[in-house]
Amino acid sequence: MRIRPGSRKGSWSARDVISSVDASGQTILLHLPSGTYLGLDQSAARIVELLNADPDPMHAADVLVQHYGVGVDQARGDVRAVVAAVQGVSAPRTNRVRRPTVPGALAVSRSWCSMSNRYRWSTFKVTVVVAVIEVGLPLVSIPRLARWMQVPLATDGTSPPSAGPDDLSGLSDAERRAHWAVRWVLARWLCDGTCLRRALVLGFFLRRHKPVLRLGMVDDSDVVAHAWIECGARAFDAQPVTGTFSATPAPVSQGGHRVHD
Amino acid sequence: MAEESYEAPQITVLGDITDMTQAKPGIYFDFPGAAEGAGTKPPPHAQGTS
Repeated sequence: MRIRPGSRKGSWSARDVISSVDASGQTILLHLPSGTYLGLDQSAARIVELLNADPDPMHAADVLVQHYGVGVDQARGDVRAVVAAVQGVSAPRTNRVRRPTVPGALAVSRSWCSMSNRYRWSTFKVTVVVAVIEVGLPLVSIPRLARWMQVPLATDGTSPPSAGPDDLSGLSDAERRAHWAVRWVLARWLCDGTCLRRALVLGFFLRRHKPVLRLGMVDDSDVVAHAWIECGARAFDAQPVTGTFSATPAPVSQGGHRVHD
Repeated sequence: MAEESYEAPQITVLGDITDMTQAKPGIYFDFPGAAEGAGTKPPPHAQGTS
């Protein structure tokens, strides 16, 4: 079962989608209810842009007719096709659970036992939270899980953060230990310790700083996204990204596929 | 006259959010022993009892 809040299929809701651009300038759409990344060509990106401005498919089709000179039937069919594709497609999820070995488990146990009591407690708490996130990931949408972890997904347009080491100034000792423990636990976790998991769990432990979760496309040839958290002007786990996912994507400067009126 | 070119829209499924949102190469470790010494050692004050 997968709980998918959001719009009823067939009716467009701009709140269900956020978008960004990858390193090649292609528009990347994230359908939040299904958690699926989609690559849009120029025409599809334009239709999504029109639907976000006005959810009426007829209006979007009319704009296509007026601005591009396409036939009415083709325009309406294309808009319907885009809506159906965005709302109806769900990417399969890869299950990459690793099977622990006895020597490995012993090594982790020895490492854990060598810590001070405070660090043992920190790693224990982080492990519990990571387990909760692991249960939640396949069941609920990312925006909802992020809200539960008190690190809501931010969809406002903002500049990508500067990559660099995390600034731990102003964090309490417990938060610093949690910051360290997140990496320690996820490096040994049974599932991939991805940046999304790291951002959610770290955000939970830094929740008194009111963090937000952000997503962006990695500035690389591979199609890979990145998740990080921001507490005010400070970013944790910042990496070079081509831009942040937002409800109103920033215009593409060069090489982009966005079309403007 | 059309202002700009238009072609039938194309949408490509790239992947699920939990699979694709995994930046930062090198975060993967073979569970669990390989993670030892992979840059995640406890800080000095983490050793011993507090």
